[in-house]
This record gives sequence, structure tokens and C-alpha cells, in this order.
Amino acid sequence: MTAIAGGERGALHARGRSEPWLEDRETLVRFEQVSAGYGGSIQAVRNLTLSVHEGQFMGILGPSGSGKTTLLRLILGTVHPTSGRLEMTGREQIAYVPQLETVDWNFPVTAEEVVLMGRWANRPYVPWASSEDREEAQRIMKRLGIEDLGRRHIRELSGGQQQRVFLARALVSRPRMLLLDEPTSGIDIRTRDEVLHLLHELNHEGITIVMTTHDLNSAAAHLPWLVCLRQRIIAEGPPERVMTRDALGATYGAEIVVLHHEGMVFVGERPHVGHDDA
Amino acid sequence: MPDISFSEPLQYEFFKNALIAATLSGAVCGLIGVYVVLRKMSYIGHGLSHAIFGGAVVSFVASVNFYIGAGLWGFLSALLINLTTRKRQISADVAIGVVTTASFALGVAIISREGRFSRNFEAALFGNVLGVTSTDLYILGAVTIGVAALVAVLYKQLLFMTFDPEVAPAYGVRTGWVDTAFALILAAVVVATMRILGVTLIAAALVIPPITGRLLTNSFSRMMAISTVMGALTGFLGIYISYWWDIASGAAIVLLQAAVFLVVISWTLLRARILGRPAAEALPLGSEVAAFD
Repeated sequence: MTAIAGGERGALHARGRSEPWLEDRETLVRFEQVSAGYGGSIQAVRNLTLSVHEGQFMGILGPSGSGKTTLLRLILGTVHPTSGRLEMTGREQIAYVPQLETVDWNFPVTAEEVVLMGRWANRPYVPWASSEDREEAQRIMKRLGIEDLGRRHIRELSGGQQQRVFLARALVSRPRMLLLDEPTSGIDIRTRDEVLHLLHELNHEGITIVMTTHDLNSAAAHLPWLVCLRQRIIAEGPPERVMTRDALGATYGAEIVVLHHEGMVFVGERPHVGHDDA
Repeated sequence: MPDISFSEPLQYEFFKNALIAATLSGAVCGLIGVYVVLRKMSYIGHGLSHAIFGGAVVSFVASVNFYIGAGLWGFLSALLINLTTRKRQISADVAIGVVTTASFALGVAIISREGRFSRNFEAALFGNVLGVTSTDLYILGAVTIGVAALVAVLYKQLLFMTFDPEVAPAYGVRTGWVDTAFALILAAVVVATMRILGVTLIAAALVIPPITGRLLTNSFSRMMAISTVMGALTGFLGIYISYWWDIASGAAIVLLQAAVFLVVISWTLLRARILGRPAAEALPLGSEVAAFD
């Protein structure tokens, strides 16, 4: 199903068509030849054509500067297309979890205050949280196992707890779609697995998830649908079809070793020394 | 040693006016300063007061009411700074530096050419709380109440914008409107307190109480309460100190604030040493103060 063909300027271009079950789902986001940037002539993404369907769990792969965060911001509406067409359903029901690296950890807020921010769109001009807001925040924090950390300052939490606090902020707004910018970076393997399992649970409950990641092996193991991005879409489909040497090589501009074993995909880098010697 | 009496100076009308003006100025600067410090725009108080000085001179020459002329000038300067910063190609400190010093230079150029009203502007530069009129008091009172009301109504949105400006729009915060409201609030505070604290000292009144509050708490609302109360108390006591020791009122207020800050930071470092915690962890100031010098 995955087609590999010569693409723009001779680059490898691999695209997978949507799975049949996806065609029956409502399309929440549709990019058609969308380009976007941050001023000037530099485009962060070029000619994107992509659909996100209800109930989908999508991972966006790509090197730094490949346009992953821009793609999320386009969906969020904080970046606008410079050309092309972007159609959205229910933008107000989208929640966003930023990269932890972008958070100001010295800011004087407690975990509960951060979580409550997710409810603020309901009554934006009332300076205090309602009892309903607090109950919902408590319910979600309990679900994520951080109910006892509400009064702690955000800097006093571990990486995994910090990730859960921001996930809780997203979930208290009762989103239909969840966007996460590198939720697995900067946390240990166990916490990463916990976060990804949690995202799977949420997805099974009906929340559409789009996340960016640098972690290829985790993406191969946990994410059912992947998009390889390098300003434009290089490949799209399930991991076993997208995780190929050619597609990943074209995405990252490096030689990448891909092993398929008992239905699992393992990705590794080829050492430079061996490569040069060869 | 001066005669230290709290009741004796209250017999003078000018002193009572000064006391109210300094207390309100300290409180409102402490309140709004929390956002200034946490938005890492500590330099803006310094810059905006200088910009408004230019506006004050222009309104004097054009025979326009000080509050209207300087207020409008300040609002436009604050908007211009916000706009320049939003474009991301120019950092906030550079934007403030360019916009406000050019405006200040315009004021200085007009004064040097006219040469006839430099004494009035000496008061604007260094503050003259003892010359506060009842009109000044009414305006300051109205600005304090208005700012407190706006901060209450926009509390959630201002906090979200300050903490997470990239994400806030995704959660329904109308960033353009909130930024404009903040520019208006800031300009109003600087204009209303300029004659009391002086152009050169407003920055300190906007920065020292919030930073002191930050050292004492990890909660945003408590930081805001501490900063406002500290601003009001140091304004109140600063006027007495000014009277007892016969020193400039703005300087007395700021020196008192600096002394409180010194005590609090010393206590914070001492406590960290006793508890065996690293000093960097005990001082959660990050880059908030980096832009202030």
C-alpha cells in the first residue's frame, strides 16, 4: 500500500493511503497543500497534505527544525498557513501539551494552579476557580496519579510528574483532540512507557491524539500511525511500512539501520567510523 | 537624631496627601509589578517612565493636560513595545531601549531648546510627593481602583499569558486584547505615580516588591498579595522617613524597599545554608531580574 516514488527535487517520497477504517471516521483536520512559516521567505512546512481522523493516534517524526511543532501550531491555530487550505472541525475542543523544555520552572505556580488553567476558558473573567473546576481538576489528577501533588511548586516535581501535570491541564478541558509536543523527551524509560500507555488509554476512550517525538523506537513500538516530516511529508502509514531505511534516511538525512523482528521494528544509527572505513 | 513621631506630621495637609499618594503608588506598583517581573520585562518600568517624560514635555509645550498627553503617549509607547516584541525578531529589552530612549531624548531636546521650565521637570524626574494636589490624589485613587478591578477581571488571562504565552491562545485567551489591556494598565500606573515616585525611581517600585514576594512564596496569588502589601507599607513608611530625615520621598521609599529586599534575600540564603540546600535552588529568580540593573 505504501508507494515509494521520486518526489520533489529528486527526494524520496513515500506516502501511505489511509487505512480503510480511517475513511469511515470523521475528518477533524485536513491539510491541503499547506505551507507556513514565521515571517520572511523561510518556510517551516511546505505543501503539506494530511488528514487527521477522529480516534486516530498519530505520531509525527522528524529531525529538529523539520516543522513538527509548526504542524501542531497550525492545528492549534496559533500559526496560520501562508498558502494552501486548512480545514478544521471543533478547534475549540483541542488541548495542547507543550514541550517541557519551554516551561518556565521558576514561575510561581503550584501543580493544581497549572491544571486549573485548563478550565479557564469556561469562566475567563471570574478570578477564582469554581468548585466544579476544582472537582474536575482533582478527578483528572487522581486519574493521572498526581492528586497528592496539587500544592507542590512545579519545579519540585519529577519529569514524569511534570509531564502529567501538563497532561492533566489539557484533559480538564475535556478535549476531543490532544496535541502533544515531544511528551517523551527528557523523561526516563519507565516514565515514558507510562505516559505512552496513558495516551493509549485516552485514545481508546475516544480522544484523537497527535504527538511529535524524536524517539524512533518508542514510536515504532507504541504509535499506530506515523508521519515522517522534513518540511514536507516524506512518508505516512503504520510503523511497519513507514519505518524503512529509505524513508527514515530521507527524513533524517542520515543512514539509519532498520531491523524487523517478530512483527517489531527496531531502529538504530550506523556508526560513523564503520561507515567511513567501509 | 530626628524627632520620630507618627502623629506630629499628620497636622500638615501636604503630609496627609503625600502619605495617601505614596501608599497607593506603592500598592499599585507592587500589584502590577508582579506581571512586569514575571514577564521578564523589568526594564519596561524604567523605559516607559522615560518615554512618558517625553510625552509630558510635549503635552506641556502643546498646552495639553499632563494626564491626557502623557497617558496617551505612554499607552502608545507600551503598545509599540508589545508590537515590536511580538514580531520576535527584536527582543523586549532592545524594543524598550529604542522606543523609550528616543521618546526621552525628544523631551530633553525640547527642554534644552525652550529652557524655561526645567525646574518643573526636575520634579517629574525625581518625584515630588510633597507637592501632590487633590487632583493628583483623585486621579491616583481612580487609577488604583481601575487597575485593581481590571487585574481582578483579567486575572486568569493575565496569569496564563504570563506563564505560557505560546499556549494561552489555545485555551481561549484573547492574547491581543489582554496585551493591549496590560499596556493600558502599565501606562496608567506609570503616569499616575510619576509625580510621586519620579521617572527614575518607578522602575524600582515596580520590581523590588514583586521580587521580594517571589523569594517568600511559590504561589502566584500569595506573591501578588505580598508585593502589593509591601509596596503599600514601604510607601507609607517611606514618607515618614522622608519627613524625619529630610530626604527625597521617592528615594526614601525605594531605599526602604531595597532594605527589605536585602533582609529577605539574606534570610533566604541563610535558611538555605542551614537546610543544606544549594543557593541557586533557594533563589527562584531565574532571569526575571536579569534585565533590571
